[in-house]
Amino acid sequence: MNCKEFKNIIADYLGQNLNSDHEKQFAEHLQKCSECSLLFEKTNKTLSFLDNPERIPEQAFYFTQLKQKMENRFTINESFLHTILTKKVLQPLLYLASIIIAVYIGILIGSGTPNSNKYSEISKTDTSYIELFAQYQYINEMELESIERNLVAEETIETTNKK
Amino acid sequence: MSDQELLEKIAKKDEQAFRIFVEKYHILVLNVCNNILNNYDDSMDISQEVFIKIYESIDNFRGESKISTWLYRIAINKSLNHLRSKKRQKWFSSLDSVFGDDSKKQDIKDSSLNIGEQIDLNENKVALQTSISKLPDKQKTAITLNSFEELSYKEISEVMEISVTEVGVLINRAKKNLYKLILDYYKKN
Ligand SMILES: [Zn+2]
Repeated sequence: MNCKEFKNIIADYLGQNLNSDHEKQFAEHLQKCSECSLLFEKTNKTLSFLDNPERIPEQAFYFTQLKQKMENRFTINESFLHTILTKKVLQPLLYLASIIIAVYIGILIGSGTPNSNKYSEISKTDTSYIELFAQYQYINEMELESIERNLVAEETIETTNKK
Repeated sequence: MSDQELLEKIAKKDEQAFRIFVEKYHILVLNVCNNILNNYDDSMDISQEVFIKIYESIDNFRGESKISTWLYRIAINKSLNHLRSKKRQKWFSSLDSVFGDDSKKQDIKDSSLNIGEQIDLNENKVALQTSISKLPDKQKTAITLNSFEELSYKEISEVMEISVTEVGVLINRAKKNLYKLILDYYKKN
């Protein structure tokens, strides 16, 4: 029996699944091969720990810790409703509101910001708009949307007046 | 005070009775958890969950089986669940490492370092624990109850709610697998 064969049947040997012939060969190899006998010894020693496990001893403050844990959990449970209200209701509402506001602002900016085309169109007809736009653009940079709305309103009034 | 009296009082939320009960059984529950978890901190945590569960669901205990059977069952279920959630955590942390979130990976690393510190670094014990941890859940349960808790096949069958024959089969398989796993461990190390 060589080392490879020996290693292959260690598990069978431990499970007492070898016939007497194999068992004899196993014992012979064990005697003469130090490497295999070391492996066998280690495995056997390890298995012996199945029969005398290490036990965690009595814990002096076990109940105190347990009680602390239960009390903490009770406090958490008490504030559970509060958490639900804030996390599950108020927070989503806030998110939703901020999204709506953001979209609204986006639309306002999109429709209200004077772009270069508009600018050039107007400058052809009336140069006083240049000053007006320059003034509002400056304020625009400060992202004051109410001014934007005013601009739209004034534009409309101006166009109507022209007609 | 008998267990039955204790349980009746605990059902009425008698703290003194609960304290006596916990002090009587915490070593058992703690060790059953540790047989599966191999980690002192986790075992403390999960065994306390066992007692909280008992405190909350004491009405479900009908006294048909021994109180210890009930304790073993809850302790094993909670421990195995904890292992599963830890595995999931590891899986997610490996995802995180793929996507580059190193903060969580660090957490896992740290906790596994603690495991290393907790256990006695005796090679034999490490080899045994590593090998047992690789067994399927049912084999792991059966062999730890049989070897570490010294329960009979009959008692194990009550805890696991399977037949005595099935317990025998599980333990035989577990032992065969253990021989191989331990050998593999030493071949690699
Ligand atoms: Zn050899």
